[in-house]
Amino acid sequence: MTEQLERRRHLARRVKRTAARLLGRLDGAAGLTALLAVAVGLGTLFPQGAAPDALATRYGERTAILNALGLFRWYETPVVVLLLGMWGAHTVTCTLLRWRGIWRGVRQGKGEATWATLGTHLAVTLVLLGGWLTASQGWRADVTLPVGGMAALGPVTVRLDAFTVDRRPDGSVRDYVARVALTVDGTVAEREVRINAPLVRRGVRLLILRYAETDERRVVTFHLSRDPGYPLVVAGGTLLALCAAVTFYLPPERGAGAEERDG
Amino acid sequence: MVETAYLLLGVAWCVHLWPAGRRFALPALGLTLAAWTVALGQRAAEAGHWPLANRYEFALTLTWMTLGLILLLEAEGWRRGQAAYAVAVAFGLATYAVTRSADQKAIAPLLPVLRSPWLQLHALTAALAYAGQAVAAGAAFDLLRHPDDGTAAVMVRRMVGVSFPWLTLSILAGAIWAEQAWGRYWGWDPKESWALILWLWTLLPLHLAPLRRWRERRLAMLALVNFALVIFTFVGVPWLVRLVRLESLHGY
Repeated sequence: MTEQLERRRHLARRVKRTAARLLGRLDGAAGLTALLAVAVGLGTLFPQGAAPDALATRYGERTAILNALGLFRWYETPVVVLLLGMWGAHTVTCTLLRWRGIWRGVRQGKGEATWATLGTHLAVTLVLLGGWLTASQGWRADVTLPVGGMAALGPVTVRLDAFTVDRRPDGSVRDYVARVALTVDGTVAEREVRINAPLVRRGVRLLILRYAETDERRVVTFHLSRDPGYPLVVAGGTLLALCAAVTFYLPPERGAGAEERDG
Repeated sequence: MVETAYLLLGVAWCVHLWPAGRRFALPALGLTLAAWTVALGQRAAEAGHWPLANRYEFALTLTWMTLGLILLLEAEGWRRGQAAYAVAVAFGLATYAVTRSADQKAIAPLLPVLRSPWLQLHALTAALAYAGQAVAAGAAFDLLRHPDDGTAAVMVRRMVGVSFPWLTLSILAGAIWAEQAWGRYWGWDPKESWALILWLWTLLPLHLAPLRRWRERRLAMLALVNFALVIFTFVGVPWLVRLVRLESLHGY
């Protein structure tokens, strides 16, 4: 029994070491990054999320096979999700493998560039985590209202009280301004919403998406979203930019200890 | 004024190529940058905003930043012969700007969605990042011609590194703007996807440069592909959108 347990532990250690060796290699990381770049590029060769009728008209008999390959919803396919997951796993492994060496460098006073390298990898992990939260926990909906109209979407209610088009003297549109009331979980926020200036209440964001005028009737389409991943993405992106700046703008220790080292 | 600045840039390039022109290289580049600054200032005054709102204006700003970066590096001691390649890249960017049609050069009132400080930050940091990649491409040409010259390889690595934080900041500012304008920070729009491809590819020279076998020609090739991606993200994506009939919110 003890021998069997010991064998299992030995096997687990070997698997862990092999995984770390494979996932921590610089050229492996670069290869995976290049593969991910190619996969992202492939998605830009086909219209994403287009209506089935439009796709059928455009691609004819090829529609079924292209659809089966997932090329019209490419970024949701297991191929891209798996590549992103592997890339994320690579980043985390690299961070873990570097942790001790970098900490040693910091203690030896090798400068900010050493910990900043670690910071960039942690930041990428945060961004990926934010993206995953957005995809799994995010909520979004569009609602079209005439002036004076109201709509309820679960715990969220939107009322459009007024709408004006702010024009320049030459007649071009400077801004669209909507006076709205947004109710989330019983709490109300009443405010003007403009383009690039959404209304946020208890994590729910409301913004003007479109405006149309038909038969002397003005209708405004609003976009509502609740995205728990967004703050994490912004925090991760900010950390990434800062740490990258420290890594590449503080010269003397740049790349110290990185020569010919994997991980 | 843009045409005058363009002519001066042509002269500055010739001076960089002229074997006896060593003494004049830095003043010629300085004069060109001054003229380009005046041209940009004029455009900003006429348009009422910093020239970053369309591809013509972005190309003007990008050329200006590339010239500024080359001038800084030359003042720091970058050899004229090496810098000549980067000046040629700047000249190529300027040629793109001056050959735009009158429609594309016309000043139009800003669309409501473009009136955002995040957009200004997004475009400005993108121009800074692209300028770094442009100079890296110039250094990469030099590295291809002189693979044993260690200073060229160092310059490629340095410029890709200089570009990377700005590229990251540009994508971040664009994401914040997209969240405010369209309610999502990322939508796999073709322009966003190609910005991500560029960002991912920029990681390659940064990660591979410490490895011995990636220090010379291969490093130069990576940097050149990087710059090709910059150009494609800037001018190729709108063409791709038209060609494949994709939907894009970035039609400016």
